Amino acid sequence: CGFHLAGYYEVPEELRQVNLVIPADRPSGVRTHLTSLLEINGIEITDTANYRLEVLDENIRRRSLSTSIRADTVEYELIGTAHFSVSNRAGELLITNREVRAERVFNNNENTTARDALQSQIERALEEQLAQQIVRQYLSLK
Amino acid sequence: LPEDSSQPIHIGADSASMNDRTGVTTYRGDVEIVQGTMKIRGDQVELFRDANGEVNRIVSVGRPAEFEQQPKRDDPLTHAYGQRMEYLVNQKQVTITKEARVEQGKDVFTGERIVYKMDQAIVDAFSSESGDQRVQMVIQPKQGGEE
Amino acid sequence: QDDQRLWNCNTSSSGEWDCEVNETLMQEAGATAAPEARSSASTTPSENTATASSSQAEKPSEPQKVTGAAPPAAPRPQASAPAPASRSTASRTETAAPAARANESSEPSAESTSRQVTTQQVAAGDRYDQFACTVDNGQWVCTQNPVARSSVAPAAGAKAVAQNYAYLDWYRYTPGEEGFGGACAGEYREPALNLGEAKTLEEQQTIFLEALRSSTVLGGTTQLQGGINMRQGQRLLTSDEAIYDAESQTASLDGKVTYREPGLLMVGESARADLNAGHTSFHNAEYVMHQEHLRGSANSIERFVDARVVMNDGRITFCEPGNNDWAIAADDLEIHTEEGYGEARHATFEVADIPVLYLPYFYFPIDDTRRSGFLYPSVGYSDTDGLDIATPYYFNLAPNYDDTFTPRYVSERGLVLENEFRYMNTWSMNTLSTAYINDDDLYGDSRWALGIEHNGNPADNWFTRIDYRRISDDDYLDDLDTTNLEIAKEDDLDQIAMARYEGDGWTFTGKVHKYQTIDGGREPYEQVPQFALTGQEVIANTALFAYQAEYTYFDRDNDDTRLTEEERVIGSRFHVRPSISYSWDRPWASVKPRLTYWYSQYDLSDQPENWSKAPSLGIPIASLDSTLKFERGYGADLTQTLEPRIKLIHTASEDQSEIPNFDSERLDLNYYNLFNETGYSGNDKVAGTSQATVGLSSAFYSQAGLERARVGVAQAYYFEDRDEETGFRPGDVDGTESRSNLAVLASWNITPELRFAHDSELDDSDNLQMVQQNYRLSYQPDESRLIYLSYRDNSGSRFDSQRDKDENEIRQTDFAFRWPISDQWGMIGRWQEDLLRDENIETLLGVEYTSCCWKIRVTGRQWVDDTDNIEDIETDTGIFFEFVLRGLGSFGQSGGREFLEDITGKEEDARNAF
Repeated sequence: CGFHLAGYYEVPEELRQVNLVIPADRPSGVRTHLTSLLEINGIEITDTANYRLEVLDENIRRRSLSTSIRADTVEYELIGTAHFSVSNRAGELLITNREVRAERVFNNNENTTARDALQSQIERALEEQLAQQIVRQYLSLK
Repeated sequence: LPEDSSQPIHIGADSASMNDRTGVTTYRGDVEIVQGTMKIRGDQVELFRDANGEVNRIVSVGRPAEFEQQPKRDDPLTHAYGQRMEYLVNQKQVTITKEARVEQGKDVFTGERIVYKMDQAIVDAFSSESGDQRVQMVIQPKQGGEE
Repeated sequence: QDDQRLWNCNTSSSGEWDCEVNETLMQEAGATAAPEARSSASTTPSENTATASSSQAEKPSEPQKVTGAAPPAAPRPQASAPAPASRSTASRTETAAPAARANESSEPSAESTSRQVTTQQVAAGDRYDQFACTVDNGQWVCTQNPVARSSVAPAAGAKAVAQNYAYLDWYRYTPGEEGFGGACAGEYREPALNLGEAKTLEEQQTIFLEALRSSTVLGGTTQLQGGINMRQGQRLLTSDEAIYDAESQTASLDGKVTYREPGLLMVGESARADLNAGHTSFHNAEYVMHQEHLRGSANSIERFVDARVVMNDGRITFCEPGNNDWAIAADDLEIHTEEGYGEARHATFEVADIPVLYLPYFYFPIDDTRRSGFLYPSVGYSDTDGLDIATPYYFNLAPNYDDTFTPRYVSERGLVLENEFRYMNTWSMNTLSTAYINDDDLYGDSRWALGIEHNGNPADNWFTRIDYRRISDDDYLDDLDTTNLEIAKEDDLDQIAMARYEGDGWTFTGKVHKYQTIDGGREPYEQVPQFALTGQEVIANTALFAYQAEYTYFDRDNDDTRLTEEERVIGSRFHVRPSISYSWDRPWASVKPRLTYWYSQYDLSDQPENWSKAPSLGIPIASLDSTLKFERGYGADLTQTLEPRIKLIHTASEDQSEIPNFDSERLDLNYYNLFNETGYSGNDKVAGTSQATVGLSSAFYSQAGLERARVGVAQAYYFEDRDEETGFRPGDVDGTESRSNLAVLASWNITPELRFAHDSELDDSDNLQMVQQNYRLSYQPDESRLIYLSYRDNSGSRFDSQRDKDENEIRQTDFAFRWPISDQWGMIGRWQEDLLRDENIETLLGVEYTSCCWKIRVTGRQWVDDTDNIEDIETDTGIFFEFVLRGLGSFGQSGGREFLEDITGKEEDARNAF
């Protein structure tokens, strides 16, 4: 049916180094995941790199997805979004302010402490998913 | 000054020629006519005389022709430039045509044709019929009193 | 000059662009488009008439050498197309200014610097009357010959032909332009007046006069006639006649006078200008402020040097010319453009020229600079609360702090005093919100609410956050804060104070997290305090060492009789979870073994007798996650991947029945949770298991690595049974199942704006019947349009208890939309229905009418109220009105429109956006 093992894909030489820029005045959840994922994919993070991966913003917001007839939330939805840009040494933008997005649904729970623990667990997972999407799109730059 | 017209007229030029029949004297080449505070310069100046020999009309042509005078005791000098000037002595009126320009103190008037009535110190400026050469004035701010 | 051209123009160096119409040729050429009779209204062409025949008849000819002093003539304007003189249809094409041409002024006047005449696109709309353009010191200034606009008021009744308001710098959008088809038919376009930046003060003061004829008494007054331009610094005055007195440096202008400066245009019959004092006064004039999109008229307008515009018997409106939907008329009207506000005394507010409201004094902003003053009241009505009127007052105390005080009268309840104080400094943002009602008639007592919010970055990598809310009684928010969706559905209000440090690859968080329970339920465990350290290190580019360490003291009010014996336990827990994993990655496969040691140690009090005071739980977890990656081209430019995945999980089974359950809950069954290694949230419980979770997923990627679609299915195969004591896996009923149900996950971005998502649970033991199924479709092409459809059904799944089933079993649709019906009309709506109980949770319908200078929104809403007993369902209905007057602000309550922002995550377009 045409499927073959994914071909070997060599990361272009100049992409092997990247200057990762994340705003320092706000907490960042994707930072740790991005640093590990880049390293695992063989990409060195250094200020002298000639590519610059900048995370412009990241945000995880919660909304109630379904409501009971007594106006209590039954299911919550967590929506993680981040915007990032990639530019080269000359400042030309290869990726401009692109949005990556990941969503998860979880049930509300009478035990609010457990629900909050679950929520923060899912937030870590969403941050990792956002980081994975950013790295995959960075690697697909030819 | 008002008493200019009673002053003697001094004329300097490269050459001069007199046409007996018309009574017109024509001076050519860097002509300068002085009467009191009034000066007229031009490349070619023609003096016209009336029946009893008085100079009643001076026509000066130059690139540009010039006219200068001090209208009143404490007024700044008035300068006028233009390609052709016609000074009617008795009416004390100078008509400047073709890119006319009058400077009075720091104020500047330009236009296609300017009529300067010396005794009343009035400057009437006109643009060309086709309107392409409009009257323009640049008036500097007064620093307190008169200069 | 060859005469076969219909009209010719010559442009002198410092003169103007003057065109003569060749009348005879006009008639012959006009034969193609039947030349309507030239209406008698247009005067005989004065000297500098520039009426030209319709463009169809004449094609642009080559530049024509014109004799006379003019420099080489400009190439003829490409498409000059003023409509034929009569006022039939307005032709749509724009008039292009004469193309750029170097302008060597042949007249050697010392004062005129070499002037580079720049091209400048003046869209003149339909230009059926005289139009005088002058080139003045580098700037081509076109003023409408006002004679043609004598008949200003459009014919009453039938919608007059689009009146030409070019004289107020108002130009209609032509098709294809960005604003076309919007609420406004056109926009103010100020001709580029770059009158040269006069630098020195002296240059600022120099007055440049221009006219057809002038007569000057030297040192005294100058009389000017014909096409007068008077410019000083950034100010430009034009008129037909003017008298300028050099002595007092004042000018009086008559006959079609216009006054221009950046951002302001005044047009009137006569004007006096004191050029020394920078003070201009107009008689019987109209004015326009382009940025503020405001205009008006007055029988006298004075413009002072401090940019104040003072009018008497003046009118002001933000509506576009020709539209008098609303206006403010006042005996004395003052606009402070520098400070950005206006004041009207003895003002009447007029709607469609009918006085509606008299105000002795009326203060209004004309831009959005922060200024103390009343914000606009909000009005609403709902069944239970009756009338609800709030009039906020804004205190602009300092650049970095301000306050909004809102007295709010609720007819059924009484007077609520709400206040919000905002303070900002270099490293933090802080908000203190308070509310107090002395005696709530429906509630029978005084009530209050308090909220503190803080977000800070006190030092590098340090972040602080406070989110503290407290209310006097459980129902405060449901009764008095109905439109705040987020809080309204809370069971427990957060009271958090947190500090966080982000190191290089690790993060430390310290927090105190308390709650105020407001749904009458049992109080949750509070973390007072909690310290957590999480981090990960990459070793030799392939191995990953990750760790979690946490100390928490859990406390709760445990003499609540409803608590079971186990739920009364309080105490501290120390949890540590180091893990080491190795990533063997190839493009076609990835294998990831991971070893984790999960350890919790407790120090309890009030625990049940048979429990130890210091239980501990140490569980080793081993997992092997391997995926094969196949791919193929799909369609023109997509790549499809096929990824079979198998994750072996082995977790020791330890009896956890005597371990407190502080923050652990079983995970529900879904695609992600089947791959989860602990099966629980929090750090109290781990499901002992030996299983293989098998998954198959396929994704479609664009060239740029964007995931266009993904579908995945997963199922867990258990090699040993589980039980309650050692923890259940997601989806377990009694722990003896050998296979879990199937979990399906699908998402498809049909287009970037149209997204579809689905997830479901298929019953493994009942030929894959759908136990749970959820669908969602959202279409959001732009800011003003949205369609959102969601269907959620978990009625097939198993519930722990009847109470759990009553509260959490849903089969629910949620339909929301926002759609413009026409340029002016827009609709929003929401319909949330509980199909199981055939109950409507929320219905909302809103209509919005937007014109160029006002909007009205009417929103009807019915929603379920938060009650605590299950039997009776309380619903509340309300009607909400909101007026938005362009430039002034909005009146009224939004009435629940916040659901749009809730769904889209984006601010609804600013109310005052036009």
